[in-house]
Amino acid sequence: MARVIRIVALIAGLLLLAAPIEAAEVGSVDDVARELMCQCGCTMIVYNCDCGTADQMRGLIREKLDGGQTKQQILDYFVGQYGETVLAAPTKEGFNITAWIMPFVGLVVGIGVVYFVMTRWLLASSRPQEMAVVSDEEELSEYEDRFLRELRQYEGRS
Amino acid sequence: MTDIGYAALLIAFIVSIFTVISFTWGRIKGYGDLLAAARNGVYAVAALTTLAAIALWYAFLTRDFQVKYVAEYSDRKEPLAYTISSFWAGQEGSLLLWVWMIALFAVIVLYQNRDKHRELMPFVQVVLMSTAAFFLMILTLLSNPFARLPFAPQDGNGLNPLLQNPGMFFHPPTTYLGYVGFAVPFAFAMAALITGKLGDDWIRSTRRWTLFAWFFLSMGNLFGAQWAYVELGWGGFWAWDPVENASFMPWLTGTAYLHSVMIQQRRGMLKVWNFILIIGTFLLTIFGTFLTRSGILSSVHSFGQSNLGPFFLAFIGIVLVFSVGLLLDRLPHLKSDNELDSFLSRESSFLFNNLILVGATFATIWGTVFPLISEAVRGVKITVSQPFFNQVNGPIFLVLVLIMGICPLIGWRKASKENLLRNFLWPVIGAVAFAVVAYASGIRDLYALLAFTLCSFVVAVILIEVFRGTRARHRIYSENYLTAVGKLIWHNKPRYGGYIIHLGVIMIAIGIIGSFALKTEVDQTVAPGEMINVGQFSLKYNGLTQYPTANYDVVAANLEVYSGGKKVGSIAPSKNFQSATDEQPTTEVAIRTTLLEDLYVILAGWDRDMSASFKVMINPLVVWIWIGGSVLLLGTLIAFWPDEKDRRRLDARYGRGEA
Repeated sequence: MARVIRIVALIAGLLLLAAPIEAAEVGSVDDVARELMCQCGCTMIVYNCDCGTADQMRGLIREKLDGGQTKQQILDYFVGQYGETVLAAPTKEGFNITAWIMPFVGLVVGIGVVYFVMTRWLLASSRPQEMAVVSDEEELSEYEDRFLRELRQYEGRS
Repeated sequence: MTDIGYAALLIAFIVSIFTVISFTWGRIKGYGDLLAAARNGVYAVAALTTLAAIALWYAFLTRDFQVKYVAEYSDRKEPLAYTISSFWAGQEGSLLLWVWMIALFAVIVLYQNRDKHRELMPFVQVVLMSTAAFFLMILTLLSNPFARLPFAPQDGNGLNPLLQNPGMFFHPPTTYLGYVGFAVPFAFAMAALITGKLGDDWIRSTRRWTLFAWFFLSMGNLFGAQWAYVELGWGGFWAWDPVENASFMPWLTGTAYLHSVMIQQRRGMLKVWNFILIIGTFLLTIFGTFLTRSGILSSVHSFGQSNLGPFFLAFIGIVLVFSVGLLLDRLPHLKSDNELDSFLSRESSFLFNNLILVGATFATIWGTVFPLISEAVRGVKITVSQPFFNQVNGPIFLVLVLIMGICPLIGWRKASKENLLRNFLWPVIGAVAFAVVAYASGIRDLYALLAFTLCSFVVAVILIEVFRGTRARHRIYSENYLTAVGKLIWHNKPRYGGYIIHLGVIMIAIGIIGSFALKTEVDQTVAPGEMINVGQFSLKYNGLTQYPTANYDVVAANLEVYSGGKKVGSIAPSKNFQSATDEQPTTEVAIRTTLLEDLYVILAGWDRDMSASFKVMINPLVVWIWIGGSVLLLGTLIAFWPDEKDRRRLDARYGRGEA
């Protein structure tokens, strides 16, 4: 149970981290322009594109921000103009929410599978047998031992 | 010469089919003569595709504009280097490059294994030659690079100016070397499944090929990123464009495969999983080629859209059904020695590494195809671009970096508490110290702080590991530290090559984090003599100059760069006009690079009164991405180099000679 809690905590942490990486002042032109696709056919976001269309869109964003509109209102305006395809990322509502959730659902399922498989393998090996912890010759982290051993071999040969 | 080229492709197509049939038939019936003929067929396909490649280059170099492909992608004033790279500027040439490489790889594989793997080899070649045959079919029937125009134009259209860049010279060939390289381990995997020789032979025989493919795919992506950074002029290098994703996904699964085969080699575990990973990687390379060529998703790579989509889809379908069917059929024979001694073991940390890499692949595929899903389900077209991928993949990659640090600290089989404490103590102290220094030096962005701390943890782990080994050698052999480091690495090349590759990856990560999270940017219009202030830099604008070069008319802005009141250089972003009436000039950014940051200046436009608008960015640490690329090269070379000790270890495990 403790493990399950830990896993859930890990996932929650992941989701919390799923916040925008790029730094932009909230409510600035850049902030809005990062979330819109340029409509000139360049497939870039407005923030990145330097074509006339993007310039125009940035101008419109600035105008609306100066007019006191919020980021969401501006985004809604562009969606009204061009349809949802103008948004650079799916909205976090309705069917679109699957876009955001599925990657993490996939990870959780993956963690579940790995956990299940590992428990089975652990059981398989819990049958009594010699513990090979230290006798595993290849992976001794004690370098000095290894070098001494090699040195002995070397001297033995010559 | 073009007729010879086409004839060569046609004959190569027929020979490749013959080769597939005779390898299969010869192997089943045990006809030695037929097998020998089939081997000659492989050489013939390589020779013929080489001939075709030479013919295409010949057409480019002699400016034979009656050849449609040459007319489309070159012109008379094109310099030699870009005339050569025009070969892969469009679809037909790219596909020819693909098939040429796979044919050459098939010959190398044949030669490498001339005295061994007699049972596997025919089927390895069947897989390689079938793939070649598929591409040759496309080249001869649907997308002929030697197709002729009904007339010979005076001049060609010229290579898209965006593609006239050193990055574009290297990006397609390196990416393709990576794509095609993964066909070899895939072919061995299939041969192992077909013949039922399901031991680790196929993995051992393809370790170098996997490394080779992985390295070139990494470089291909880096060259592409570098090209985007200097040429597209938006200040970034990665836009999560569908085609970028297409070459990133096989990189992720290929990386997972590269790690999980180590578990199979050491512990005999994960046999089925390794088959799944290599099948997936190969399918993703074909899927990448398909995405680039089909145009089903809009992309900056619209350089080569066409109607080949259905054929690639069919090929992917066939490969999928065949390989998965075969795997399912062999499942009962793929009993792994799956035993785990502890949750705290190298094995389990590798499992998590695989989980995260495959999770990132899934997230990337999901985001890439989600527009199609949305259209199918809701009938609404939507876009999934940078904000989505950055938000979803960002945290996943942070976990990956963490695992990169933890993995080497946990021993195989079972790690003891004391062991862990000893191994973790100094790296954690190092990372915490780094975080404090980073915070004190003004980094307040939480994301960046966390990410840099994780990176410093990985670096600390690697450095301490190397230091311990070096100190031991120093004490025992009384070598000086420099010799000791060299010998330490040289005496266990796969291991330390791997660590060096990790260092390279961390450098790349540092560059990515810096440029994403700590970027500063200013948009400003200034008159001559005025200043732009950004970060610690002040730029003084001195006006515009206009001058012609061999290929363009250039309009450049001259700026003096000051830092801390002192002039540190000058910089001249420009726009290049192909002709006087060119309405879409290319933007040539000016970049001043130091180890700490890039000053990245874009000339956005100007007015009659000589005032000009600029976009000025400070992109911290970007240069480390390219430095990391060179470190990747160094690490790969070391890991690639024959290692006597590793050979002995593997011989002891699998018996001599079988590699």
